[in-house]
Amino acid sequence: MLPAAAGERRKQLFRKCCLPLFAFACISVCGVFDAHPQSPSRSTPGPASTRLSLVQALICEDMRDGIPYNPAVAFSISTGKIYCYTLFDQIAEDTAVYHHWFFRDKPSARIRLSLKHPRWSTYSSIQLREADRGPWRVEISDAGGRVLKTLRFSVTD
Amino acid sequence: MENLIRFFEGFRWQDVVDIGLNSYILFRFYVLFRGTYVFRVLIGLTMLWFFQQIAGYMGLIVTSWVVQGIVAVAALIIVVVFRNEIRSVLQAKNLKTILWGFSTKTRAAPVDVVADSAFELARRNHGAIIVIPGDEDIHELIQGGIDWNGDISKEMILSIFFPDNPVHDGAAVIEGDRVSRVGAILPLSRRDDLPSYLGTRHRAALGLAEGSDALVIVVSEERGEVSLAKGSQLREIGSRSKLIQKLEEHFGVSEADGPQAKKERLEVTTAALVSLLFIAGFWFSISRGLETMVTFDTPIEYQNRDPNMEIVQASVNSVRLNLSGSGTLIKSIRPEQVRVRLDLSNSTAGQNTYAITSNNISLPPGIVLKDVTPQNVVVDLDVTVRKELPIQIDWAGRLPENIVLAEAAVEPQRVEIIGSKRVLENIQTIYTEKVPLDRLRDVGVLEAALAIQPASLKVAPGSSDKVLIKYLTRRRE
Repeated sequence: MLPAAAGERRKQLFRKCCLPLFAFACISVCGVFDAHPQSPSRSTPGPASTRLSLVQALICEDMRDGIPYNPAVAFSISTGKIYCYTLFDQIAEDTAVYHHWFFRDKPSARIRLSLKHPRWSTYSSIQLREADRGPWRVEISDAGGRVLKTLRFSVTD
Repeated sequence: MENLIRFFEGFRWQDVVDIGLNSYILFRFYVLFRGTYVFRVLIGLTMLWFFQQIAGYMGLIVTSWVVQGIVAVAALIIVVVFRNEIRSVLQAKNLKTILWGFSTKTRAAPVDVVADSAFELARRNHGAIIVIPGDEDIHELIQGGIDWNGDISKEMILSIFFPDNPVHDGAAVIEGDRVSRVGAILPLSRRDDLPSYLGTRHRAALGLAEGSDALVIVVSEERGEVSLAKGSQLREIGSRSKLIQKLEEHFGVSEADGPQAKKERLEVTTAALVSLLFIAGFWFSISRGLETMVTFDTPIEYQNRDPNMEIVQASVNSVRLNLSGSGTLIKSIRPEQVRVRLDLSNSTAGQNTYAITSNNISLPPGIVLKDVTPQNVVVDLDVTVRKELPIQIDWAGRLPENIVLAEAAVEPQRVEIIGSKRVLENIQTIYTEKVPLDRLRDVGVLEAALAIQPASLKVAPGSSDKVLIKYLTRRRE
């Protein structure tokens, strides 16, 4: 599921250093994020808004060492916490994306995540509460507000 | 004087028509059924009804109940028992006669021929019995006989009752100017007070006269006498002129200005007057009785709404009407008779305020609107638009611990919805009904209906309100 996973040791070290720096980007009290540099792509530089490519996006039960576990479209409330994982390519320059979480069409959390040139994976998460059962969606948008993808899932018993 | 003016205050033209029409209907009933047993029974029932009202007014509970029961049952019985009389009245007369005409009794039968024949038969000592029906149907009372349908003539009647004629012992029935039946057998009178010299022929004449309004002429074979049976009376007729007079009375023939005609005109005029007074009294007792007030909660009906607009919200769904009228009318109000309608033809998108006046309210006749609460209604309208929305599966329940629902796709992915612009602006997704996870297999296809909320939204024609769900489960890592 994770296409660019080379240099695991180096990435883990990078993640431990970068994690506190990205903490401010989390707007929602329940949202967290993580980021991983990926293998450089061979794409040529250009404007970020036009060239940013979302390679992979999914909702999963867990993140271990930057790898999403048990991607799914329905999650039990007992899972406790769920993650929205995204992998971007063709990042011309450092930029940001947004994970906008909606519960039944109502905004729940808007999380800003930074992306680094040239390829970057990142994720946000929410802590599930008893009242969170029902249909959810996460809109992934770039810095300009353009929605790149919408992920739909349910939180069930 | 003021009381009188107040009494007639608010007297509408519809009320005049109401009283006039019903008076005429009652009067026509009298004209059509007068002289029949039905009319007498109806009078009896009316008296019983008055008696019940008086008993109720005096507080005689059981008496009132009993009389009420009798009146209720009698009304049913009268239709069953007198069905023949009612039928003969309605069938025998054309529509014009029923609605307008009076009893047009004409000199249908040649009474002088009948009288001459009767006295000629008496002179010859030939026994005879001649039936001349009245308004009532006698076909169920007489039996047997032979259909004749021959024109009346003296010779014809004499030959019918000639002693060697096989039908001379039966009765001849005269209808109009024809002998309709001969050799007919009549019911015998059961009276035991008749003179012993009267034979079977006279008993038969009385039997039919007692059971109907027919006139029966009897000629005695032994004594050569002519007698007339009418009602419960059997009278000997001494002269031809007397018989002609009786026959003319039976047929209702009289001179236009004669005492009989005057009597009839007086009778009809009195009946018309009584009908008018009765209905007027009945009308005033109902519509001008003790005033009663009542409150009705009535739903508001909206009319002439622009098809491109939709009612988003109304400040109230029903209004409270305070109505007044006589107790009888108030009690008889049915909910569907009280309606509040608002015309939305001039409405615009947004909030529209309407004043509820008597023009918006329809009430049954005789009921007056006193007050309405609230007096204004605010109706929020919006433009109807179409919007294409994504469909999302609303999963419910729980999968086994070792299984995750890895993928699910819905087909079609989008649906077109029609509804209020403002409502649709806040809706980004259409969800399916709850789809249970508990019964999922490894892979499969399900069908689910869309749960479209709020109910004012509708699926556009061409879009389906059901979707197919293709899913794939996987073992948990």
